[in-house]
Amino acid sequence: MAKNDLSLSLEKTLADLTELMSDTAELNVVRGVVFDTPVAVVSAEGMVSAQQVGELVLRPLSELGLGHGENEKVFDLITDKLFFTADRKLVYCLEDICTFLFSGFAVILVRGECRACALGLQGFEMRSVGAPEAEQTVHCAQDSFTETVRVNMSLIRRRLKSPKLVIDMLSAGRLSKTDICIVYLKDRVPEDIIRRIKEDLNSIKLDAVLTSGYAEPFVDESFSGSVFSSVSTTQRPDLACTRLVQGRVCVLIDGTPFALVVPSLFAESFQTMDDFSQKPYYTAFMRWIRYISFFLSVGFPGLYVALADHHPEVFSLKLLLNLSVAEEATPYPLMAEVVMLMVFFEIMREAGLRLPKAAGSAVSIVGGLIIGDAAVKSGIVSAPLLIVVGITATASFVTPQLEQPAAVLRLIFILAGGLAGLFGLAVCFTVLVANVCAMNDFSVSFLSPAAPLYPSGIKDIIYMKSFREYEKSRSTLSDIREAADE
Amino acid sequence: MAVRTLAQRLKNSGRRYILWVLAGALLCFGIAHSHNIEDRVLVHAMGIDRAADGYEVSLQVFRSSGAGGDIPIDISRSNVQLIKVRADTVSQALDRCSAKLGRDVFLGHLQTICFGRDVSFERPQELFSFAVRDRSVYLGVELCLAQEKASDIIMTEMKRGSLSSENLRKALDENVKNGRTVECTLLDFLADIKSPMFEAIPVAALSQEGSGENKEPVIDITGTALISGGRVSEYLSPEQSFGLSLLRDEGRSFAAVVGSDGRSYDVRFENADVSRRLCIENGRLVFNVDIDLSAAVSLDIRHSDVLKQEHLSDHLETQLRSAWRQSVQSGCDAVGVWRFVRRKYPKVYLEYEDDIERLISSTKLCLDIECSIE
Amino acid sequence: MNKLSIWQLTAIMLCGHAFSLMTFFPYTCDNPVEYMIGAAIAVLIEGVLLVPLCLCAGDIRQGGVYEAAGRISPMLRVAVGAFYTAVLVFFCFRVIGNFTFFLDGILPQGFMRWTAVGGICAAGAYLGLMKPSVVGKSAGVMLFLFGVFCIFIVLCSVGRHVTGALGFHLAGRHISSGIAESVKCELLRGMDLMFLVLFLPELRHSAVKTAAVFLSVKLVFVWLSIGFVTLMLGDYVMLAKLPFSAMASYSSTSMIERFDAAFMAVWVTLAAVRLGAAMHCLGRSIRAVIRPLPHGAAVAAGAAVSAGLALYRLTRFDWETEAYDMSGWAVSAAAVLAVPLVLGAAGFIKRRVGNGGKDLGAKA
Repeated sequence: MAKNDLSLSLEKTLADLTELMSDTAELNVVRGVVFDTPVAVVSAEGMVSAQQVGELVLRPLSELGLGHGENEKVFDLITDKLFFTADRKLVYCLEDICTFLFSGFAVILVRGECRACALGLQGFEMRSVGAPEAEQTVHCAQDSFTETVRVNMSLIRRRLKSPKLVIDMLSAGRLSKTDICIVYLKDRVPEDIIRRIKEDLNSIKLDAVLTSGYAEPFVDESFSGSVFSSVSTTQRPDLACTRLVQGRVCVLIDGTPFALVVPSLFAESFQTMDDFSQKPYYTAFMRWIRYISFFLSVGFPGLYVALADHHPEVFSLKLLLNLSVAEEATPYPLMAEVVMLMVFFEIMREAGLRLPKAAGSAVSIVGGLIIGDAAVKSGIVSAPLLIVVGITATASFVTPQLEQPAAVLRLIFILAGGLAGLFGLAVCFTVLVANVCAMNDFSVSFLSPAAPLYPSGIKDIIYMKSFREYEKSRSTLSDIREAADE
Repeated sequence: MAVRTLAQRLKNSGRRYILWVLAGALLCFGIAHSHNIEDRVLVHAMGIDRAADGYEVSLQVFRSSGAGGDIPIDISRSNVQLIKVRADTVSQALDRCSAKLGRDVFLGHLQTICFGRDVSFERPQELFSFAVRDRSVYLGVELCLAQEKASDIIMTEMKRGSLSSENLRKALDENVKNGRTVECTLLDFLADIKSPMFEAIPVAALSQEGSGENKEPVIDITGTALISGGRVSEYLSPEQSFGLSLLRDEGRSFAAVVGSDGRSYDVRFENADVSRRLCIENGRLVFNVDIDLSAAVSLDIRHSDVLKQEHLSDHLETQLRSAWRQSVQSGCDAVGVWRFVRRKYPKVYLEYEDDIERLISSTKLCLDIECSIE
Repeated sequence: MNKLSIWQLTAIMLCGHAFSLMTFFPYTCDNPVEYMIGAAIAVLIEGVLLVPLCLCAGDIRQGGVYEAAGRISPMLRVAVGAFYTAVLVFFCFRVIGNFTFFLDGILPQGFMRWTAVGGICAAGAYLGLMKPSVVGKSAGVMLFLFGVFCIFIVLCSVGRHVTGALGFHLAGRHISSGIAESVKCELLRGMDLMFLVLFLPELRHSAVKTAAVFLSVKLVFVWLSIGFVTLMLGDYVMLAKLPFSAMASYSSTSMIERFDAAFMAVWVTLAAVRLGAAMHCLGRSIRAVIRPLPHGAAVAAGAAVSAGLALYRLTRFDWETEAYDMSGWAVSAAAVLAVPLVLGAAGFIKRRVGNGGKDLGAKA
C-alpha cells in the first residue's frame, strides 16, 4: 500500500481500517471531539490496558475537548503538549496501524490528518519472570527470560548499564511481524558480524516466526551441514550478559523465552554460571566432570560394544568373564541390545517431557520396572549393559546444551562400533572431527581456542581463570580471530 | 542470510554422498564378519607336550560354574573346562579344539603356557607359530616347564581362586618375586628367534597336600631350567635360582638361610640394586656385577656380632658364583652376557657369533656385593 | 583464518609420518640403531631437497605451484598438474594398500578388504573435501590425541622391567646396507614433505622456518619412538610385523589389559588424516589438468582411482612385496625437489629474458 494512505476523512480512515482488519470483533473505536475536531482512539481488545487507555488517553483528551482549534493544531497539541506515555510513535499507513494495534498500542486518529499517533499501553497477559527451568544453577540469579521481548530487554539492560549496549529492533514474519531484538556491545563485536546477522534476519521470508528455532537456521551457517550448532540458546539473562561481554550477539525473539547467542563455541557448552560463583579449583574439577560426561554420553555405549564384540582382550580377565557369562544368557547380539535400550531410553525421555507433570512419576516407575528389573530378570538384556546405559543416560543430562547432537552421535557410534569395532569408531571419529573443524561461522572456529590454538584462551578450557586474570585480559571474538590469524 | 551458492549446495551434497559410502562400507564390514562375545571361548592356560605324531595340547577354558544367580561367577568353584587334543602342530591342535568346543578359541587372555619336559625348543618358529599367527596372543604370557607332563598340571582343577589357572600364574609370580625362579615370557623366546637361544624357564610340578578326602592339588615351583640350543641343559634349585635372578637383575627380595659359627639364621634380602657392565681386561672379558642390598634379620641378632655383613656377602657371592658356574658349564648364557658383548664389542661378537658359548665360558665374573643389615 | 600455521602444517606431515613409522620397518634393517642413523641421514638429505623450494617459495606462494607454472606457460601448468596427480595417486595407492594390508595384521578377525578400503577412503575423501585450514585443524586434534596416547603408554610402561636397553647395538653384518635401506625407507615415508610444496600458498609463515621445525620435530619423534619401542621389546622390535602394535599389546594397567586396540584406533585416525591431506591435494592437481572439474568431483575421482588400484593389487595377495619395496624413495624425492627446481629455473630464465638479462629475483 502507498505510504500515506490515511485519508483526511476520519470516517474513511476508520472504514478502511475496519476493512483491512477484516471486520474483526476485537477492534475498539472510541470517538470524541477535541477543539471541534473529531478524533478517534482505536485499540485492540485484550491488547491494551483498558484502565490505562481511560486514564492516560481518554481523560486528557476529554479535558482538552472543551475548547476550539484547527485540525493541525489539534494533532500537534496531542503529540507535543500532552505526553500520554513514554512509548509514542507516529504512524503513516494503515498496515503499520494494524501492527501497532496488535502490539498493544492505542492509536489516535484525527480528522484532516494523514498521520496517526500510536501510544504504547500494553495490557495483554504476560508470564511473570520466573526461574530458568532448562538451565538450573545453585548460586546464581533465579530469573529467566519470558515470552515478552521488552521484558527480556529490560532484564539485560538492568545488568549492563553501559551506553555501549546497543539494542536494534527488527521485524520478521510476513503474518506474525514478530519483534526481534539484536543486542550487542558496540566496541566488542566486529561490524561485519552485526551486518551479517541483520542481513540473515531480514532475509527471513516465513509467514510466521514463532520461536527461536524458526530464526536459528537463517543465522546458523552450518545448520544443515554439521551435527553441532554454532548458535546456542539460553534462558538466563545473566548468561546472556556474560556472552555479550565476551563479544557475542544476543538475538531476542518476541514470543520465546530463549535468547540466541551468536556465535557460540564448543567449549562454552561446558560452562555454566555456577562456574563464576565457585572457587577455581572446584570449577576446574566440575568442568572436567562435564567433559568426561559428554564423552560417556556419546562414546561409552559404542566403545563398550566395540570392545566387547571385537576387542575383548582389552578388558581385564575377570571383567571379561563376567561380561561373557552375562551375554551368554541373552538372546540378542550385544549391538541389538544396546540399540534397543538406547531407543527405550529416548522414548522414556520424550514421554517424560510430554507427559503432564502429575503423571510424570509414572514414567520413572514404568521405565525402571520395564527396563530395569524385568528386562534383566527375563534375560532380554544383560545386567552389565544396563549399567552402561544407565551411566550414559545420567551423563547425558550433565550437558543439556549438547543433548541433541549427543543423542544422534551416540547412535552412530553404537552402530559403527558394533559393525566394525574400533576401526569403525576411529573412522567415524575422524569424520566428526573434520565436520566440527569445518565449522567456521562468522570467521570464528567452533573449536576455538583449542583449534586453532589460542594459548591464553586454552586456560579457560583446562581450568578456570581467576578473576584477577579476567581483569587483565578481555577475551572477545576479535581477540580470538586475531590469535587465529597469528 | 547469505545466499547459498550452487557450489555450497554441491559441496554439502558431495559430503553426504561420501558419508553414505562410509556407512555402506562399515555395514558391509560388519555384516560379512559379525562377531559376538559369546561366540568365543576364553582360554587362559595351555599345556604343550610332545606326542608321538606331533603335539598334545591341553587347554583350560573358561566355563562358569555358577551362572544364573546374581553373581555370574562362583569363586568357590574352579570355573574351567578342560580339553585335550593331539595334532601335528600346535596351531592344528588349537583348530581342533575350536571344532570340539563349537566356538572360536580366543587366546587374547592366555595367562600361562606350560611345556612338557620332552618338548624341544630347537625350532621356535614352528613351536610358537600359533602365537605369531593369532594376533591376539599376549606377549607377556608366562612360560614354564613341567617337571614331567604339562597336561598333568593343566588338566588339574584347582579349587582356590575364581579361575584354576590363576593358581599357576600366581605361583609363578610369587616365586619370581621371591627369587626362587626367574621370569620367562613369550616375548623372551620370540625376541631370540634369530639370536643365540639361551633361556631360563621356571619349572613347575604338581603335588598333593592334605590327607584323605581333603587332599588338594597344589602347584610347586621347583626351580629353573636352563635351555641352550633348544634343549634343557641344566636344572637349578630354588637357592641357585635366586643367584641367577640377581645376575639377571630381576630379583629384588629373597629369603635365605645363612650359616655362621655352625648355626643357621633366617635372613631376608631386600631392595637389591644391581649394576652390570662388561669390560676387557688383559685380553679377557670381565663381567662386573655390583650389588647393593639390605638384609633384614631377626631382632635378637641384629645388634650382635654373630651375623656380620661379611657373612651375608660371602653367602651371596657363593650363590651367585654357583649359579654362574652352572650356567656357563651347561653352555647356557642365561645371564645374557652375550647381549653386553654385542652392544659394547660388536666386532668381538661378530667374530664369535657362531661359537658364543666359548666366549662366555671364558668370561670372568667379578662381583662387588654391599650388604647392609637393617 | 583460512591460513595454515607452522604447527598445523607440521601436524599434517607428522601425522602422515607417524602412521608410516607405526606400520613397518624395512626387512634388511637388522637393528634399531641402523634405522636411527638412517633417519638422521635422511633428514639431512631432505633438508637439501628442500633448498629449491625455499629459494622459489615467493613465486609458489602466489596462487600455488600450478598457478606459478601457469604464469610461465599453460602447458607447464598442465604438466605439473599431471606430475603431481601421478605422484599423489601413487601416494594414496600406497597408503590405502599399506593400511588395509597391515590392518589384517592388527585385527584378529578376518574382514573383506574392500570394506576396509571403502571405509578409509571415504574418511579420507571427506577430509579432502574440506579447506586446508580444516585439514590442518583436524591434523592438530589427531596429533594431540596421538600424543596423549603415547604419554599414556609410556606411563603404563614405567613400572615394567625394561629389558630392551641392550637391544641398541651395531653388531650387524650388513650395517651399511641396513643404513642405506633405512635412509630409503625414511625418504619414502618423507613423501609427506610434498605437502609443504602444495600447501605453501596457505602457509602463514615462511617455508624455511616450517621446514626446519618439521624436520627437527620429525627426527626427535622418530628417535624417541624407536628408542622407546626397543626398550620395551628388545630384539623383537625388528622381528615383529607391527612392532608398535606389539608394544601396545605388551603395555597394561590394572584396569586395561592391553592397548593394541587403542593403538589401532589411533593408527586409523592418522591414516585418515594422511589420506585426507593427500586427497585434497590430489583434487587440486586434477583440477590443474581439468580446470572445469569441481573440487569435490576431482577428489572423488582421485580417491576412486587410488582405491581401485590398491584393491586390484591387494586381491593378488602379494602386497607384502609392494609394502617393503623402498624403491619409491625416488618418487618421494622428485615430488619435493623436481617441480620447485623446474619452476625456479624456468622463472629465472624467464626473468632474465624478460628483463634484458637482469635478474630481479623472487623473494620467499
